[in-house]
Amino acid sequence: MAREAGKATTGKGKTWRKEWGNLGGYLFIAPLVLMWLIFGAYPYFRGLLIALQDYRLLDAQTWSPFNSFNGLHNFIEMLGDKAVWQGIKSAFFLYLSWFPFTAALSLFTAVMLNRVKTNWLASVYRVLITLAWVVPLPAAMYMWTQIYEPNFGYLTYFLRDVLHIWRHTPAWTSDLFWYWPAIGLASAWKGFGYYMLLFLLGLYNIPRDLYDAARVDGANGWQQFRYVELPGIRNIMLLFLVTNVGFLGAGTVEMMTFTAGPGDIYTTLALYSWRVSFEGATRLGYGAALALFAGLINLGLVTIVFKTLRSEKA
Amino acid sequence: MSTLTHRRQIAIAMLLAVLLGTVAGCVTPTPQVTEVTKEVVKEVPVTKEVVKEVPVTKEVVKEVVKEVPVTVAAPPGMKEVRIARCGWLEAEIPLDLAIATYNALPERANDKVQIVLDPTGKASGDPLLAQMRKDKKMVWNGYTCDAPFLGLAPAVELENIVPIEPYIQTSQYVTAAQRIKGQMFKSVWAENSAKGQLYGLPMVTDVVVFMYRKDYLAAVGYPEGPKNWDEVLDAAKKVQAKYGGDVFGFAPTPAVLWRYVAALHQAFSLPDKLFTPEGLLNIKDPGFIEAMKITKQFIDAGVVPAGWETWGYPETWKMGKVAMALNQHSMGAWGGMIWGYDNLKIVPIPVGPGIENSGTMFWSSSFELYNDAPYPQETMDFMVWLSDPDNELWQRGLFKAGKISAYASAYDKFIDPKDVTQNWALGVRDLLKSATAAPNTKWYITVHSKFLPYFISYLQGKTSAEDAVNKAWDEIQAEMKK
Repeated sequence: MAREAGKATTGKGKTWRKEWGNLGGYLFIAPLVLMWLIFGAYPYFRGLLIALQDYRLLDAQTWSPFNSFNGLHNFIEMLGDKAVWQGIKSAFFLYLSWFPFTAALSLFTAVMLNRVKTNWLASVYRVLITLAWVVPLPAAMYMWTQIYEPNFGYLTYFLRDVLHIWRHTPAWTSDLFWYWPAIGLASAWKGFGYYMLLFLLGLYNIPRDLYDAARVDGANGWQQFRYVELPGIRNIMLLFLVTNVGFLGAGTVEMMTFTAGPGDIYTTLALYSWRVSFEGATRLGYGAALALFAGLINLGLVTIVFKTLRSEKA
Repeated sequence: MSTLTHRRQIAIAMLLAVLLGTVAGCVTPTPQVTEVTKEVVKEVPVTKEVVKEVPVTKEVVKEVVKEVPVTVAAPPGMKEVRIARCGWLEAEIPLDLAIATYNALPERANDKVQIVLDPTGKASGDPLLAQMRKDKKMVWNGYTCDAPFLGLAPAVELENIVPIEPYIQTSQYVTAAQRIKGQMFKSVWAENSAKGQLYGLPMVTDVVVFMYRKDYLAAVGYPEGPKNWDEVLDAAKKVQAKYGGDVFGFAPTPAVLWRYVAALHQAFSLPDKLFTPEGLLNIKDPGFIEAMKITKQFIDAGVVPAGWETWGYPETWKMGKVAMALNQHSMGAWGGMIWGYDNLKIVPIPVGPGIENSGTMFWSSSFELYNDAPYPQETMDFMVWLSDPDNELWQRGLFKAGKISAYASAYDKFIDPKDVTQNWALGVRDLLKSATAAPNTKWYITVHSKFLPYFISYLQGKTSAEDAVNKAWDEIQAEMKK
């Protein structure tokens, strides 16, 4: 009996260990988990509670979640708030203005750079291309406002007075149509260096053997790109899509420095959320509800991308 | 003998790193916090007469002329007075040199005070300050550029800032304090006050003015400048016709309420009509609507530079390609720096019908003292020294930078009426002296945000002026009720 009991204990212990694994492993991830709990999970949780409150920054508040609790009122208000729907529309246009262009440009640049055979030259190109990325966003946007200055700015001057190809140039950032290409180009210029680096990392990881095999099979440059490189950077592309598909969070810093269109009519949802949170009545609760709504939509979009473009390990 | 596996070594190393980080975090000195509990005067000191003045300043002050870092921590044993940094202000005026000069004063060796500009500081309206105060962890003493009409009310409501007059009264720089109280324009004093108490000490002040290029206007028959808005429109059309589109007639800035239409309103309405009883800009006032209509006349006439729907015309003005503008005076001064003060004229806003003298909008960039600041009196000693109307380093620096002083005597002392590079400030002084301060309310920015889209829509011809203000007004009221 005693031997049987001993076996059972050992067996139980083994089961526990099998289930939970080596305790030491948890130590590895403990710092990260702790960090995530403090700086990731808690703000989400707190944000969710604030979204259910009439939380105002200028009013005295306690840490209690039931302080000024107003249930789903913020979300109901959101449905009738025309600025919300305008903000979603603007965020979508902002996304369209830069994302496809940035994706194509960064991928194209990475592929070209991958074919540069001289190492030092490739390094020079990499540095030059990523320079824009290291410029702080507000500074970059301010610089672009100078380029777009509608009367005597660089772009206008170049098109009108140097090339003589456009006599009546538009007011780039004040024009209802030209605002989007203008901010799109500025955003693409700012971001494409970073994404180019991502794609380049993926390309560098493709084994040379695959290129050699493709060449032996008679593949030309385009075919190498189509059948070797594109599949080879599939995971990077997934990462690129996942980190950018959440378009509803965009536009805050860009539009603060670049302006949000004539009369601020292109204020995105994120910028609107910031404004209701920190201006006037400082309705952080409503702002949090807007942010939560945007976050959920973004989460849905990320899920769709994952489902449709599932990679080997995703 | 068991050996540590690679994984275990890494795990131990990570744990050690976390432990070390925690220990380091605990032992890293947070400047002043410990001392705060001992030294901070919790109550605002009772106003009292100070009879002893530190016998220093003017004779022994040597202006520090070379760059001295003022963002490094004070050495041990010094009282580190950390002031939240304001980038644009320092870009325009030599605050860092002023601090370096103050830190080098002989009396600093006695009181062991060192002023430090802290780039990580928070602005007065930041709710984080309230939390830091609650946690007894306030490390900053104040902030150097709050625009009272936008930021004072929220900061007072949050109790982030405290009244400063008692500290001015008890400053070691007695005569400087007296000059500050005696020489500050009443308009600026009102602007920096809330609930009857002074909260802000103006560092620099901006006034909205009418400015023009003398050469362009002289060339079209207006050597003395336009006197009313009909003349402004006429001059703008003539300039545009004469220079063939290379120079624009008039530049409004409709996209920023306080820099343009809130000031233009004062050309058409008397001070008692400018604001509603609750302190909002009175956008339904007939004078305000008239200001909107005047603006549209210029746009319809095609004499306005492109881009007026957003940021306006600063570059065009600075390039000397605009004949007339209505904006903050420093914009005019910066233009004069580039294309010559001889060609610059800064005057009061031309009047509308029935108005004898136009008022104008103005604002200061003010220093505000944080509630529970570690060294409130030491901080205000520095601010009193700095703001002293007799402080040549600072006051002359303001005028040189195109800004103006909030103190009457500084103009008499440091402006040479014959010097064209600075005499424009004398006219701006008179405007500032008689100006009406915008009431301090947390809603000014809301009025701006709600009104702006409708104003632009009106200027684009999509709606009437009356309709625009009514819709904006409804939205403002709805926002205030939320």
